[in-house]
Amino acid sequence: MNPLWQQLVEAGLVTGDPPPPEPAGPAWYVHALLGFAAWVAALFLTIVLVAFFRFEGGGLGIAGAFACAAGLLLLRSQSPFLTQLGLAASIAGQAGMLFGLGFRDFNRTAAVMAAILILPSLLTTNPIYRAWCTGASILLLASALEQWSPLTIALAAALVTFVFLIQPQIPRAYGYGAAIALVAIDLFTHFGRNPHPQAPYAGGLLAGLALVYTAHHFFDTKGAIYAALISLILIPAPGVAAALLIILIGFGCAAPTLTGLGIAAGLVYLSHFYYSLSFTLLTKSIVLLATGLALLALRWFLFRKEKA
Amino acid sequence: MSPRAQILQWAEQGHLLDLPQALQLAQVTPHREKWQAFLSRLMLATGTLLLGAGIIFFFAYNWKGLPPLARFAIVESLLLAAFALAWIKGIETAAARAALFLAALMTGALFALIGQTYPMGADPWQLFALWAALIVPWAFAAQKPELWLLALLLANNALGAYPADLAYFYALLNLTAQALWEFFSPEKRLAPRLAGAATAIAFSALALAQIFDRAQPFAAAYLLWLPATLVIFTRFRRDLFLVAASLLSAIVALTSLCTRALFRAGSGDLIFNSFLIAVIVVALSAAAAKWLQHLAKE
Repeated sequence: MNPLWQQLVEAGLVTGDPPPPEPAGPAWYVHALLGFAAWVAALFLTIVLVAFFRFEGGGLGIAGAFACAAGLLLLRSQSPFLTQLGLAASIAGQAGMLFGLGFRDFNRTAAVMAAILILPSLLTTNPIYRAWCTGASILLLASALEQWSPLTIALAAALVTFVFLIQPQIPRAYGYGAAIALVAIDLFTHFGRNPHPQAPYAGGLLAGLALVYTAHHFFDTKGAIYAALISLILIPAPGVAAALLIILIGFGCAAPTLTGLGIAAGLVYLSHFYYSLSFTLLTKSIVLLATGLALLALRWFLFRKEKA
Repeated sequence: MSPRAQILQWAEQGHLLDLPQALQLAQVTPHREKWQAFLSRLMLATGTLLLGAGIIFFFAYNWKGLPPLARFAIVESLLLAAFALAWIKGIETAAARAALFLAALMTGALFALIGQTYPMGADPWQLFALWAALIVPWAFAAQKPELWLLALLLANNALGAYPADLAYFYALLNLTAQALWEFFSPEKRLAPRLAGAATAIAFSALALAQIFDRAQPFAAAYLLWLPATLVIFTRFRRDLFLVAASLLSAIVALTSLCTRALFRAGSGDLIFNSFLIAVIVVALSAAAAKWLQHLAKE
């Protein structure tokens, strides 16, 4: 018997005989290649749908739903070509539904689509499709929330916390989708309209709460208090708190790809934070200086004994 | 298969009752010492980065209440303090390398401050190029990739800010950096992988320039780079991440070539052509993934 399985049986974490061995799943960069290529193919398939229906809303929406369903059927195939075609067709179908139904009120349609996009992801086990649906859903919500879009930074961070820490039996692909959405929001939020003056504070408060929960989960009450102090300083910069949270979860849950996404999210947020019009450069500078000094002081305080 | 991959596979198949406990049992998730080392590194890296960014943001604010002399005094004092800290701690320590990184960021702040106080009409590319050149000796001293990566980023920025198209130089710069890393420090893969990804982006840009603008003579460079990269990283130095990056570049180039050929001079049916291109992208990416999986099993 597989020694690892035996170890788990003795700990009461599994029962019975081990399942027949299966080859390891693709590495993260293979998933990234497939996901990017499916997205490009979906762009061309969306052109097919839109050109065929000549922007006729109802027809385009219904055809989109059919393409989405057909794509889901293809995702059950064992053939790599058909699976990839299913991924592209389903994503194009979602775009067709959005464009078909969203001509009159795009924001409302985006909000509805954000809610229903999770449903098709439950009908397949394909991790790329699950991650896509989660990420697209959060991005659509960011679009629908308009001036309150910084709240979705906190939402994405909270979803990663939920998937990896609170309900770890949920497939991790949903958490990865949320983390990818976070990088995308950090990239695109500042190109849109200026957020509501209170939106960054609300986002910062929620992201901070998630960071405190994460610190409490991995460490103890002291860890949660330190995280609360850092989160309080970081309230005007929710992206930094969200990135720190994802880096911590990635390390603590043995998910190095998530750690990488957290670092990317932090760097992207920081480079766009400079251009954010919500605060003056002086305020932003004070927030960053205070956080930087607090982290360095905390490091000195926590690890001085080990050094000695 | 690694214990981590095996446990995650069993979790996906629904065999495990408690994933976090299983990961802990197999010692996949970190224990106390690993957490301490990680948190120490995370706090140092994030603290240094935020401190440096905060100082740059502060001087970009151009606070009129602060006289120029005081501004220079602040930046130069910080620069000296960072150097002093690196000297005292000893270059082999993480704190010293963080101090050097802060000093590198302060150098940029100092250049920006000089430009802000005494406008000389210099171009931004000169600032980035000089900044990159100045931190190279410190990168040699630190012997870690962080400062080299910062220098590479600044050199790329200098090329980006140069008022002429330097597509070839982007590719050459990143390829040289990747080759140097592969030669001198091949065991740690993060830096050569980042440089390799930047090289793939630069060569893909060359291919796209050739495809959409026939006047650009870049095809030969791309056709040399792509097979060479695939052979080197499949046969001589196995790195499937870099193989995947090259394959993605090939998919982008081939798709662009098909798009141009199908839509040339506005001919062809939009629906049919778009469908055909989608199928080509799907076929190429499925084949690439299958090959990568095959290589992973070898």
